Amino acid sequence: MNEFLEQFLIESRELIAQATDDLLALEHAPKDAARLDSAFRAFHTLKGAAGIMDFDAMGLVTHATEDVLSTLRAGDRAVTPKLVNNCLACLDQITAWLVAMEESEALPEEADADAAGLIARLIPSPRPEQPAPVPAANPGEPTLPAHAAAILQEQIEVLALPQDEGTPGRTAAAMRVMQNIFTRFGLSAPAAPTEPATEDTARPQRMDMARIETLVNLAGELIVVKNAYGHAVSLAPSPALTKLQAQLDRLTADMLRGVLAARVLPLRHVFQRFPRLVREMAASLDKPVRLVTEGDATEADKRIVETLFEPLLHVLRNAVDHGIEPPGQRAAAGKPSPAIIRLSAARQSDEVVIEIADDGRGIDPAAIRATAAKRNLATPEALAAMPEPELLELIFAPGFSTAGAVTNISGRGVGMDAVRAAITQLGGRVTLHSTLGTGTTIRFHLPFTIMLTRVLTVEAGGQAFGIPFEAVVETQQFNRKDIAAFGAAEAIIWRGKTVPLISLAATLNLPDTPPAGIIHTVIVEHGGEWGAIRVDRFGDQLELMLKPLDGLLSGMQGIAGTALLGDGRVLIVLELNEVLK
Amino acid sequence: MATKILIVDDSKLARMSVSKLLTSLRPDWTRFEAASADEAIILTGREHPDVILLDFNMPGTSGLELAAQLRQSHPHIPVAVISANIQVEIVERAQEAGATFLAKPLTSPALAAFLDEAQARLSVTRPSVR
Amino acid sequence: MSAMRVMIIDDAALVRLYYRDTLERAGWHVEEALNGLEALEKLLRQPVDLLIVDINMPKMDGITFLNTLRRQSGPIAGIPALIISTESAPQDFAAAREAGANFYLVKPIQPDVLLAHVTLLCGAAS
Repeated sequence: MNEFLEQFLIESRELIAQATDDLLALEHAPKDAARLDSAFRAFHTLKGAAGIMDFDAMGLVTHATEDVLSTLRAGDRAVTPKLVNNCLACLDQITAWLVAMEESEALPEEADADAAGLIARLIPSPRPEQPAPVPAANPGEPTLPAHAAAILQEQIEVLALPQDEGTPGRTAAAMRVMQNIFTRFGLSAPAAPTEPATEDTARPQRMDMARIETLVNLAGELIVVKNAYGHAVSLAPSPALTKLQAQLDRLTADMLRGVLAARVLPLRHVFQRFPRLVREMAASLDKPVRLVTEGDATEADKRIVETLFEPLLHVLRNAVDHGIEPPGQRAAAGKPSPAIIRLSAARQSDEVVIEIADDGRGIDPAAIRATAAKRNLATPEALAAMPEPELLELIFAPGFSTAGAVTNISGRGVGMDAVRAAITQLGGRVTLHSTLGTGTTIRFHLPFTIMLTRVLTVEAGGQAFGIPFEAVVETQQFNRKDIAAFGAAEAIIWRGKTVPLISLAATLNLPDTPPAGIIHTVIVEHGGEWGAIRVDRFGDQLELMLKPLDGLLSGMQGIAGTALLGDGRVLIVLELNEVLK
Repeated sequence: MATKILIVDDSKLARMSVSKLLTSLRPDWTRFEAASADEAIILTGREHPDVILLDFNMPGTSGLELAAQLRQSHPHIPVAVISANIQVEIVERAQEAGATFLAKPLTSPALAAFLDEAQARLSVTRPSVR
Repeated sequence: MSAMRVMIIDDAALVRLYYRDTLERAGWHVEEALNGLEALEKLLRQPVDLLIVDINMPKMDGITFLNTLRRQSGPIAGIPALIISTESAPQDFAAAREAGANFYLVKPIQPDVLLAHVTLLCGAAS
């Protein structure tokens, strides 16, 4: 795609998100001058972007909206839901145009006609004679100052120099400088109990994401250099080299933590999409609901923030659809209207906790028992005896749904099991609390950064593999005679438990030579499945930064990612889900 | 040494668009980009640009404020303020700050005229071109 | 916390005076050396937090100095170094980088530019 079009789409989408956010806030707080300024500025910048692309229709629509907003600023008009709707309709139209442009890579046809209709809706009011000048302060999005970025870039160049006797000294100096810049701009390790940043001023500088990705990749490569250095030292050990190695280890770890801490986004990026969605869901169900978001400046790893949309949407849908009572029921129970759903985020030491709390009807244990019995999730006796927390956990069982009626909001099919799976995949966990009549609270506990993966290396079929360490129960050797055959499958008895024996080489279609005498296995447990993975040899424990699969390996089953080892070999890290199947 | 030009705009798209025009008008010039007034000040101190193009509408320090500051610290650098708000008031304020006003979106003839004028000024204030 | 220490390595007394004045006002502790050799001798006795290095100097120039420094076995090998020189050819930048300089500024430089870079290279004054 043309780089201009690409940048146009990126910037326009950011501006639309900002304007939507501001407009929805104005609906609740019509006198919020800062929000009005921010919305005005977003439309103004959209107009500028349209001008650059020669997109006249979009230029006209944004110009008209800008005029309407300036009458608000002049105090000639008040914010009404209709006005907000009209402005949102413009944003919807622009969004539709952007989608069309992304597909066709050209200006959308018939945009002029669409624009005319929108403008007619916007302009019943007299146009102001002099549009107000540009707003003054805007929170904006400051970036890392240019000179700091230049210095960081130079350190990367220094680290990339060919190796010679000066390498340890140069590396140490470059890393000191990088660490210093990270510390200076608040990008350093999250060790200190930081306040969940309520204001952007708490961390004014945000580096360009592309630069951070470069740094993350370089940090990964630096670990490889460090591992190689360790390998070299082990070949010719000397006290001085060993000491330097320890220093390098420490610095690399610090730097990596710094870089990963920099690869964060405020949760606003995902939160800001929900007020509008909740508003629409609530309207379609005729339930007055207000979504309150808190702590959206809290930061989390970029990958986490980008993956949260689906699970959050699902939980919010459930809250609007099943949690919040119909208005009549609420009134009868003496509960206030509108109902409140609180979406909040906070940093708690190394975790980011996201909470979705509604003040609805709560979950009825009796209803869960009935559904669970109907779906044969447990015997009626077991269900009757089940303590409440355990009972609530059944909601996360695949296919569970307590809704009396299937509505088109939450529909059928995707359950809380999918939400839990998504959060677990990010290294987090989901908890649920509910009080009948008072409401339900769901919490996502997520790691602040996606850190190193600890693996146990093994060899099979002449190749090195990594097994995620959290799944390893122990390494165990057996005699050939300990193997029991069950048809084509084999198993071993380990601590009184029958565990399937899996040949790693055979699973991955590599040449497999079953040993005559002692066999080496790694006992693993993953997602409730057990396995004894037969390998040729055990290796070391390593901490690695996993690279996602690309090129030839992508799409290969059973592989989670790859990492480079100190001696230059590529280590393939296994996805145990697939191996244990 | 090549003539250096600094482009200041918080929108990357706008910088790309100005940059593209410059590539056709002055391919031999060295271009620098800044996304904020603060960055612009630091880059000006470090790179000593010969010409500066400023966006009017930026968060924090606006293009006009920055133009006024630059006039104090670097009176010899020709500065243009680019704005989509074509209002007499803004044009006048740009002139007060010693800057040329250019309408947004920037067109090739408008930019060419400014660059010609800037070069003429540079050859006077800087007789021995580096 | 005690003051951060910067060593200025330049043979021009006026330049040293200018940097010293700028840095001391902002709270840094300043050491001086007239050339690379003198700097190495002083550093081996007492390390600092940042080096400001000129290129053209008698006895031992800045590039040779950095090459030697980075090959030392002790902690002084890893002291960040800022080159400030009148040289501005690409090959000078490249030679400085290869020798292990962490950043390069071309003379003359304004006090605020000096302070901004020194702060990032070795941390705040105290």
